[in-house]
Amino acid sequence: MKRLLRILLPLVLCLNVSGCGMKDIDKRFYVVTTGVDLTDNPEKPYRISLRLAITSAQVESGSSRTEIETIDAPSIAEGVRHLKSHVDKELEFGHCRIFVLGKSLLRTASPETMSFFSRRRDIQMISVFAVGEPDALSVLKVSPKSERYPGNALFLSFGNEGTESPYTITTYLFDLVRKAYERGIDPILPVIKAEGRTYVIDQAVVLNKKGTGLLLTPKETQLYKMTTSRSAKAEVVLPLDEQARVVLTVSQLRTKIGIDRGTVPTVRMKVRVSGILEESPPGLLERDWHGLERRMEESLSGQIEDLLIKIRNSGTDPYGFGLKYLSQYFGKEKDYKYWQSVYPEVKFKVESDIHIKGPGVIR
Amino acid sequence: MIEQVRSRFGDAKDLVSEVMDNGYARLELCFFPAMCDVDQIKDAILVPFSYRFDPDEFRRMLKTGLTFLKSDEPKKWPELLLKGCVLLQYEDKVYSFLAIRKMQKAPGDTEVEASLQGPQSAFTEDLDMNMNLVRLRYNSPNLNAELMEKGEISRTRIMILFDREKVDRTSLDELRKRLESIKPQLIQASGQLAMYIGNARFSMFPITLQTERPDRVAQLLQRGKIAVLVDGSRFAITLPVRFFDFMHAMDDDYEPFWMGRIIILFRYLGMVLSMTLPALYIAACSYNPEFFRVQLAFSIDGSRAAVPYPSFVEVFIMLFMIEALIEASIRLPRFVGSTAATVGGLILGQAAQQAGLVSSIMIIVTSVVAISNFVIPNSSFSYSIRALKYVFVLVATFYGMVGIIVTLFLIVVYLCHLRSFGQPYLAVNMQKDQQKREQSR
Repeated sequence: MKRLLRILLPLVLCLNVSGCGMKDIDKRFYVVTTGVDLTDNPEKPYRISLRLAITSAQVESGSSRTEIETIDAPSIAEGVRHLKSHVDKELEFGHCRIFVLGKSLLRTASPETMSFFSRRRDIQMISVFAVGEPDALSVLKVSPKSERYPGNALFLSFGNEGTESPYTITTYLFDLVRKAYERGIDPILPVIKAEGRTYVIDQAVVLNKKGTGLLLTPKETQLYKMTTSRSAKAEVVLPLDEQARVVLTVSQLRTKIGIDRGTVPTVRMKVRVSGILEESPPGLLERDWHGLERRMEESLSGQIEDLLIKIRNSGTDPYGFGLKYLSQYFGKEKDYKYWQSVYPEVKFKVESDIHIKGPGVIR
Repeated sequence: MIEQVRSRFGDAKDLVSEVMDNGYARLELCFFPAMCDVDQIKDAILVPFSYRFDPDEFRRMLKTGLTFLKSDEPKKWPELLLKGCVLLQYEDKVYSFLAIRKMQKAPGDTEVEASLQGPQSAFTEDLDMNMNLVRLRYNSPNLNAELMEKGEISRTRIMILFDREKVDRTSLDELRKRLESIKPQLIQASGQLAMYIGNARFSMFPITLQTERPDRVAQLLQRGKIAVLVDGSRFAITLPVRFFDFMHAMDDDYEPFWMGRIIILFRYLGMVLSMTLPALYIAACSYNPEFFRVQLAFSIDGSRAAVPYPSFVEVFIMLFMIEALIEASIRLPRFVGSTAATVGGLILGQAAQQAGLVSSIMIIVTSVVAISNFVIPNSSFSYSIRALKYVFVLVATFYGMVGIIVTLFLIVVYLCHLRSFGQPYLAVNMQKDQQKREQSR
């Protein structure tokens, strides 16, 4: 009897540690996309919208059904708590991988208000953050025709799971949190535009620590993605005269960044690109292979330098030059202050090395 | 003699007792015709005694014949008769003649441990035949055989076999001690004996391995293990064994190396799946739905929408159904067996899902559990796994994913603690350890 008690007692005590309560999968309402916008009402500044999945056993193309719930609240946590009374099942963020922040929100919100996302246990750190244009709610309202699972179209758009677009930048929550608090590096968020029944994700916003940011054009977004990730699915374009264009598809890409110390630091960036020509006027490559490479190198270096200067002038630092500087030169508080003071005058030296492998497949 | 025997057996009607007189001499004869081979009695006793009678030769035959033994003690007579001997009294001396009727004349076919390319012969229910099968495969003078009788009523003959040079002495002593200490009434199957000598009757895992394959016994003997053959049972008990021996099928040694390894890997995978899958289903469904990919989560969500009960009730319903089905197909006569499978598998599975009693994913889980349980080569081990599954289900119901991980850990701890006749059950580097010990000796 005593022995039985000795076994049973720990088991009964263990009932307290079972963590999240038992709630069956069909008693949970899956949030697939969360949107946060700013309202005009100063008492309830946040408009929280949740896109909820309505699941069914049969799966067909275009059969995805969702429901959108919206509420205005003084804070995000309160809003989500209040929204629970609008639905019949327990809200579950475990599969919510896309968080859309309204464009208006970026101007005012500080990282502290956003900490809700990183603090909640059921929001996964690999969820993707993006900026919604014109606002988050209208992005949520889009329901693409090809979508099989609720919310799946956006899941596939980011990362390398579905499309691998050179224009789409993916920012995960863990990365965003890190960049929001780390000095010398600034977060960058992709912009989702709602266009009819589809999404267009080809731009990005660079934020500084206060929230205001710099909107990059699609062209610049691609350049940024090329130079930061090793994403090979990109292209280098050299416009020739008479409307002809030379397009190089990148198959290998490598970027090196170094910072020279001096009264004014110089950022050196080396980009090595190799690939094949996808489009070019006939006979061009055979006439002057190396000349073409050189011309493309010059054009690419110019484009990248322009981008870097544009970013520098806006006072943001998505590449993390500041962090790189600090790490290279044992940065203390004083060094960072110095870096901040000279950053607006930092010089850039971009060298690119393009290697054309050939004109593509011969048939 | 006849009166003495008759009175001991209470005038049993199936006892034949005869006094024969051929004109020259008298012969008293008694035996159980049901237990004796009558042809042998005729050839060995009746023919020489009747029409080829020669007193000198007959006496010589009784004295020198291999099968004739002098038995003067009246106390032993009933025992001899019950074993299938013929008792004969000639010139005031009592002899016993062994004429046991043998049912088995040929080795059996493997039924439980079938093999594709290995030997197809299996042990029979006759100890002598089994000895023949083992000796044939383990043709070495080192093979020791010790005969014993166990069971107050059944008096079952038991043969302990081991290789004198390779055997682990401590295990052998342990086995002898345990065999001496037990006092069973009836021993009808080797499994029964295994349970008596197993010491831990409530152990979750079998600590002796039962096999019907002579080739496996030979292999284990060669590895220094002990085999116990029980008369009247198709299975030999081998000990001491390790966890890994149960997952080993004889085919692994007969197939090409890599094929065998891959199949062993699948077998372990099957074991783990069959043990944990229902529990994982509960844990993932009720506690950690973010565990799945989103597509799977949504389709489980969709298919579970019609199910009225929580996931653990669903699991219990399906597991009960599959266990009942397995049990029914073992116990039913072979002709009805296939009907049970058809009714159970096709109709219940499909109908239960359409009726909204269980989700379609649960049907897959159940069938994976059932099929992968059959992958385990040893039946008593697969019983253990079948039982452990419920421990996991219970734990998952209350503690979710954390509970499953902790239970898995506890089972490993338990396996480490378990000993099979003095040898560790979960010894991974057994061979290396033994080599080291021998070197240091």
